[in-house]
Amino acid sequence: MNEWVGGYSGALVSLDEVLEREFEHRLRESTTLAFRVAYGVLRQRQDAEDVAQEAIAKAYRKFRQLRDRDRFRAWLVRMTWRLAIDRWRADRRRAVREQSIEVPSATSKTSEDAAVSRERAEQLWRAIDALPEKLRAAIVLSAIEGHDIREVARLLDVPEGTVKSRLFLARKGLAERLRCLAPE
Amino acid sequence: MSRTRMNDRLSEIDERVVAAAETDLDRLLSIEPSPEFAAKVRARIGAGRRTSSPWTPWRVGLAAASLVLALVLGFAQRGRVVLPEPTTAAENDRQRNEGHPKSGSSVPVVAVPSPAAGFRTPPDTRDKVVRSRTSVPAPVGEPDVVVDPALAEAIRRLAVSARNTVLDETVQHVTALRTESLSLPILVVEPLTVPELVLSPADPGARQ
Repeated sequence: MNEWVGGYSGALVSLDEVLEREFEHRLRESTTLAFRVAYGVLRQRQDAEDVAQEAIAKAYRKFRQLRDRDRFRAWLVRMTWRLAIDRWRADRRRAVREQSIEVPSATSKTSEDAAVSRERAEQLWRAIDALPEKLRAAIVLSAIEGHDIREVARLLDVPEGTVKSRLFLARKGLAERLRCLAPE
Repeated sequence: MSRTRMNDRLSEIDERVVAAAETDLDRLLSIEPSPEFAAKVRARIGAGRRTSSPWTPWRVGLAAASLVLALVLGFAQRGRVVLPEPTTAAENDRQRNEGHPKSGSSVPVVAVPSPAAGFRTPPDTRDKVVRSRTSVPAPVGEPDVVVDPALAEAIRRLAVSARNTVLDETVQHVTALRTESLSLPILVVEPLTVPELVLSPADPGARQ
């Protein structure tokens, strides 16, 4: 987990000291989540970090306007998701970004395993990108940090039943697109 | 592994496919940000704090209102017209006579520059005149009359010579004789003869 407290020990100007400390506290438990949400859309580490920074800066500017501070995590996730989707659409429109997929090196034991893993990851991301945005958000958020239906519903600010139906439809769509790749 | 599985209505093959996909997705999204990410976020927030703090909306509004007020006051001061106090005709004559005590009349005195000074102003003095034009306005009611110095000198010499000239009677007599002795051509006036006008019948081709 990132250490934030030491970095904010300076004079506080724009927010009250209480608000500033509360923002730091809530940000500590949401920074990695914001990055992963952005990465789930963009699949580029640098782009994901840029979007997460932008979302956190935006959250800092508007933190005073947030009435229910307990919803900061969901608020930040939705903000990050929206910014990441905007960036992803802009990149896709320009069609200048290479669709290279990052695969954690720890899972690749040999170059052949790395190639197979990369191929599977590319196919998985293509299947996820083909889903409608709402289904895509549900399946990605459920895969991040082991969120259950209740947490996903809280992050998306929708009822749990809605999340259930979206997850079912998303899995059905993934199965249709990835069925041909399954081993016999 | 995600705890949100709801594969009841998927086939067995589809369940395996989706399970494998979710396992891969969990692994792909368990990525950690770079070590520099925290520092970048701190810097980003610090930059936003520095830039946003002095320009909160109410401060911007206060600054704009102050600027508008200052502009309005400035224009009001500049646009104020100072009217002269009303004076009577007698006071005007008295002031005019006090301004020109030696003239003794209301006729404006035209200052004629001396011919020796010439027309051109030296460059250094010209700049001074131009700069001082805005600070010292020309007096109202006494227009500047520019007279050619050479012409003025010629008129002055003519006037002086005419005033000092004394007419001699002998000279007048000689002048008269010279006029009489001039040979002028003799004019003969003859009566004008006009031929008699004869009326003829109308020409058939002429227009009526």
